[in-house]
Amino acid sequence: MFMSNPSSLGSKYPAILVRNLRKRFGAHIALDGVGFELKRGERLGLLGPNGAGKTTLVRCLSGRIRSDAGEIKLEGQSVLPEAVGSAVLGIVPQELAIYQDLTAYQNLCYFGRFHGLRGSDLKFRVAWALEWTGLKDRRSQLVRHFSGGMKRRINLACGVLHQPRVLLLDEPTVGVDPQSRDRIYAMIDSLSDEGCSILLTTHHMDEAESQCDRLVIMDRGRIVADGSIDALIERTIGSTRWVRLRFRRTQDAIDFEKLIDEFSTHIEEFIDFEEGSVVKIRMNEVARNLPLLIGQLEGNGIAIEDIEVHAPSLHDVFIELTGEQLRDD
Amino acid sequence: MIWNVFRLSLRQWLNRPWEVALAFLLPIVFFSIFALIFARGIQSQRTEPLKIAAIDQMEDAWSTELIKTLFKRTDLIFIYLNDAADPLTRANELIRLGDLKACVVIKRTSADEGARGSAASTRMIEVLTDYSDQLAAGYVESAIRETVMRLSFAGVSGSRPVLPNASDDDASVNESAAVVVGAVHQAEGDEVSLAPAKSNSDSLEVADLGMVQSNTVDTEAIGGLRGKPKSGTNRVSAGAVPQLEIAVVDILGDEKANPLISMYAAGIAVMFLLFNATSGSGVLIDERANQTLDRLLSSQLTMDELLLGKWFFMTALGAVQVAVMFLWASVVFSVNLSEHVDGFLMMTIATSIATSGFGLFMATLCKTRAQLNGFSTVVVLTMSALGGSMVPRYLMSDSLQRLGLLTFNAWAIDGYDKVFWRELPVTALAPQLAVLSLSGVFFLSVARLLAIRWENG
Repeated sequence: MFMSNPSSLGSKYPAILVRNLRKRFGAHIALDGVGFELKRGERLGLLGPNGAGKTTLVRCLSGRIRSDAGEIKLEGQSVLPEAVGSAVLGIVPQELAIYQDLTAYQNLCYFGRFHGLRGSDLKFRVAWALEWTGLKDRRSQLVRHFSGGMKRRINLACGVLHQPRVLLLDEPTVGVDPQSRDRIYAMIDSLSDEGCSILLTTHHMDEAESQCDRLVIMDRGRIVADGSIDALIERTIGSTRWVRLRFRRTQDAIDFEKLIDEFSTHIEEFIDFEEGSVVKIRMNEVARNLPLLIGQLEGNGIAIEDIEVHAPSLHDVFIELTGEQLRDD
Repeated sequence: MIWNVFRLSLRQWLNRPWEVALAFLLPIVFFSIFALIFARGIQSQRTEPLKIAAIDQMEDAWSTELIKTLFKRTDLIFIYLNDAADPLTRANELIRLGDLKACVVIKRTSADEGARGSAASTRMIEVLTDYSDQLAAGYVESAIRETVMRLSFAGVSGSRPVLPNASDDDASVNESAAVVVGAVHQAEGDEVSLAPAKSNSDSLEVADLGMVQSNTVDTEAIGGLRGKPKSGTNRVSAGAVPQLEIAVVDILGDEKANPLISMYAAGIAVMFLLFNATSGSGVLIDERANQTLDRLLSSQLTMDELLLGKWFFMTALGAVQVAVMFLWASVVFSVNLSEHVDGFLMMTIATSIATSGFGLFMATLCKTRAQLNGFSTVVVLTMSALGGSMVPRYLMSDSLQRLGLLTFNAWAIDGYDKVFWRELPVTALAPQLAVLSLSGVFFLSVARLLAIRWENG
């Protein structure tokens, strides 16, 4: 059993409630009125370009920094820096926040102790963590000899030893191979199955899509989107689809562009030429409009060699909301 | 390719401004420190007088004149020990305490009674000294020889040293009255400084010892202290140079199997404690960099507990390290550890407390490991140089010696010196224990204040 207090699942309070959170570092506004909610047992993805304010938000949630204004409630209780160490919250930082010169077992033991576990509880939880991470056989090896994936698993285990009901996961799979990633996903699934509410910060769109029930997208210190993936797609891109048309000749693609006004009833947006003979367009009601477009093209003597239809992805939503401009600042 | 590697290395180095600065700063700092020690320390005439005592067991005209002449040297400050029941014992105590550099004892030999009156009889002088200050012992011996030569010269030239109203009959040994304490001013080469003696700033209680500067004492005063005036003028006659034997007796080191090792062990121990403490405290910076600190502080652990835990660990580790080193020194180099366990433990723990606190202070002051490494190297080596871990402090000028008291090294070495060299009771360690322990607590407190910024993200 993972949850330290399963009965609290039915509580009327959300796992995390954030209202109008503001934080400024000098002239830089890191959080500008952030508000969202993590429901009990939910897996919420927190996305945003670099500098969007995700790290500041997570640090505020973990009580490591005090916000200038706003409110954070963890299962209905206010989070203050002096109130950290709550058994409710678990934190798994993006960096490998473990001791490389300790064994897996020793790392688990010490972090368990820091979270207040003692005696048989500690022993039981460490044994569980070794089993959970699949590192039981390597319990006595120094962590520095582990692969990246193994270190990530221990990093994750150290954050959940005390059976938190809410877990802040910051990029848990960064830099690991697909096998290790799948294993970590399975571990997160097991936590979720046991009722743990998870806030997952990630830059991997596929990870967010596959691992989260709902997404919050931040940009420039604000929440710019909040909802399920389908809802976000519907809200930002709608029912349009990307259509890539490959013509036999480059001239066909040029002719297509010249005649674009004739096809305008079927095309939402002309996007771009790709590789000379390839054209990318956005189309609404693909099932109806695409056959009509193909017929019209053939009537104009433009031969299509290949057609690809893409459903909009979270990546498209993300770019749509945050733009394509690099965020290096 | 080689050129590219060269350029790459140069570029990397230039991108670490701290390292660049230290690369040039470190040699300059150390050159300056050692230049100050050797140029202004050993040969400077500004050094304060060395304190010595004199016990005249002979009490004839020659010995009286010798002491009187020594007394007149501006580089000597003589203090009377006539209050002491046993001046020799008192002189020994003062040397042991480090309040006295040497005691000149003009011995009465068995042949003296018969030889008294002989212009060329053999004179035996013992210089009781503390060999931990090797310069002082040699200097006092040189001063005696030089003074004897002056007496001889004065006799040849006709200006014979005559003490008023001195007589042979009154030449009975009166040790309690014939004891003075003085100081020798170090001067360039073997020449005696003619500069006026400075006021004494040392820790010796002037009032208790009745210290009198040589240039303020007149013959009557000496005569008065020495009891009945003597008529020894005929004893030091013109051209009569007594055969002189000077024996330097190291009253502290002679009884030790390997006398100076404990001093070196102490110096090295403190320096390595400082290096270990700063290096060990650097773990805090690593923990902060890899977010382990965030994770720790998000648990039930507080910053107070974290710092205290690390402080206790480094203190314990440092104490064990020093203990092992001294244990090795006792086995291999015959340092007498077994008889000084109590004082050793007190000094080791206090020193370790201080260095651990300082290490944490340095770690919380710096932002990166590289910064800590560079900064701590400069600070620790500077402290070690000034504090006596590299060069004995008695070689330094007084101003540098006083500056050295700002370092842990000086206090710790003084403490170990009291334990192993002077073999003083542990109560004598109170100043060192207090300074080191309170420094440790002070630096730990500052570290705690500096760590607030880490707590607040």
